Amino acid sequence: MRRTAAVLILATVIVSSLAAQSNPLIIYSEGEALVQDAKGGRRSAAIGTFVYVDETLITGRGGRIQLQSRDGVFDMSENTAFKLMQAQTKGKKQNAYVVALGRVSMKMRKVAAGGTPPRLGSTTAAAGVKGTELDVYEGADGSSLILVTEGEVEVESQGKTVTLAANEGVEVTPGRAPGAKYTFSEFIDYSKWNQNKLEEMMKDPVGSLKLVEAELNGYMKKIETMDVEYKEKIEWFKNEFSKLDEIEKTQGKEARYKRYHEISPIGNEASYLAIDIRFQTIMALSLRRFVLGRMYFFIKLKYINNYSDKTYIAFMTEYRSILQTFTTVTQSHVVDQDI
Amino acid sequence: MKFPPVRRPARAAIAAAVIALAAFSCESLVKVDENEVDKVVALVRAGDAARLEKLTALPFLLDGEIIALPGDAGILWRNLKAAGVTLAGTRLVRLTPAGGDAYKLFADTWEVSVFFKKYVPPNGMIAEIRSDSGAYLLLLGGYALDGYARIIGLKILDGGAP
Repeated sequence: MRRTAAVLILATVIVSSLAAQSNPLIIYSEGEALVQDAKGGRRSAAIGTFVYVDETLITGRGGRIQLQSRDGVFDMSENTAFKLMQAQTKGKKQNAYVVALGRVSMKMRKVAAGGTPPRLGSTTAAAGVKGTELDVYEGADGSSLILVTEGEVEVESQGKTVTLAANEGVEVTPGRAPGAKYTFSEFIDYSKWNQNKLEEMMKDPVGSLKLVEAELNGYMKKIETMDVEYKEKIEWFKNEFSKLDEIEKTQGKEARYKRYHEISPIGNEASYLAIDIRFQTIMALSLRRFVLGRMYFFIKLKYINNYSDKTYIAFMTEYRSILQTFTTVTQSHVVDQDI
Repeated sequence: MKFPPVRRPARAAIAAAVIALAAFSCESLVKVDENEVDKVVALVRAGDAARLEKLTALPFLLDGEIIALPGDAGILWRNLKAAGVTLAGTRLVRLTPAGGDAYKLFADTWEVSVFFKKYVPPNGMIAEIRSDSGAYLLLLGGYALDGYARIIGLKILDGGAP
């Protein structure tokens, strides 16, 4: 027995030390738990296996996954979709952990001096952390709930920020600024909270759809703006880069290096923009897949015996319009792998 | 260290065992025909939501929407049962291979075309069925599970699908 315990402890230590150094590692899983890779392939979320950027962890009924990375430990509840992405802030790459649906408890490590903190949150709210413990929920209607148990968290949505201390929480409705913060003494059951969100959505599907549309429009506006800037910068950089050979021929190697160092910051800015565009696109796609798509799913089933109902028709008209805009804006940034 | 040579009868036995094991463990692609469609329809008629959930592939398609969460397959079949979708009086109108442009039968979108490319196996077939409770497309195929084809997609035709 002691030997088994020793082996388990040793295994845990090895697994933990591996996770601290490299890609996020699955340290525990049970029930229906899988990882969807960047190409859409699915594998079992086996303990001791790594998870990579652009992968999505998914739990079903009774499923649970614990993930450890250099940024902290993440504990996924059942019926949750959790995405790992790459983002950047001021040219420094950072990991991004996004709850697309369901609930994830997060215990974040303190960021070393000069380090870049990871991006956390849901598809409708971003959380800035400082060595904290928090829970992020995302509901069937795209609403988010962030509850802090230790440390401090800044929750941002639509350009507005709310700072939460321990035992404080805030709810964020899609397309809107964070609501008023409140104090909590015990955790809210995700299933009940999500059921309420689902019922609210069912009562007013068109209203809920418009809120998700506002959130999606926010992403699309950012994508369009950044895309214009990216194209300008990358064109300028390519053009200047193509002149380097001529500069070397006429003015020598020194002049070539000098010019290259002058133009390279613009090239870097373009590559950061490319990362940002990709990040915003995947966030929008997650909202589209796990919230908008499921709204369609529930409404389609609710009205199965009455597709001539006015609410159903209004929902479908609005839904089609959102999808059309979404496809137009994102189609050049989404690849087959994302589906 | 040298192992003793394996005798001929033993080799034959090992080979037979390997072949038998391979044949036993090897899943086979279902040939989706009218009989396979009938079997799935019979499960809907019996209201066997649990088995339908088990047979439903992930991700699966509802109209033009890709459904990626494991629990949602159960919600789909339980809701159809609760809504009284029994597929009574079902007749198979058409059985179409799922290749080429067949994805357009579900939705003429880039997402659905990619879904068909990535997730629909070569034996995928689209069955158009008409019943007392409406008209549907069933996308079936893949490897047999408990003697049934996998359910990869469902389109509810009498509705506002995109």
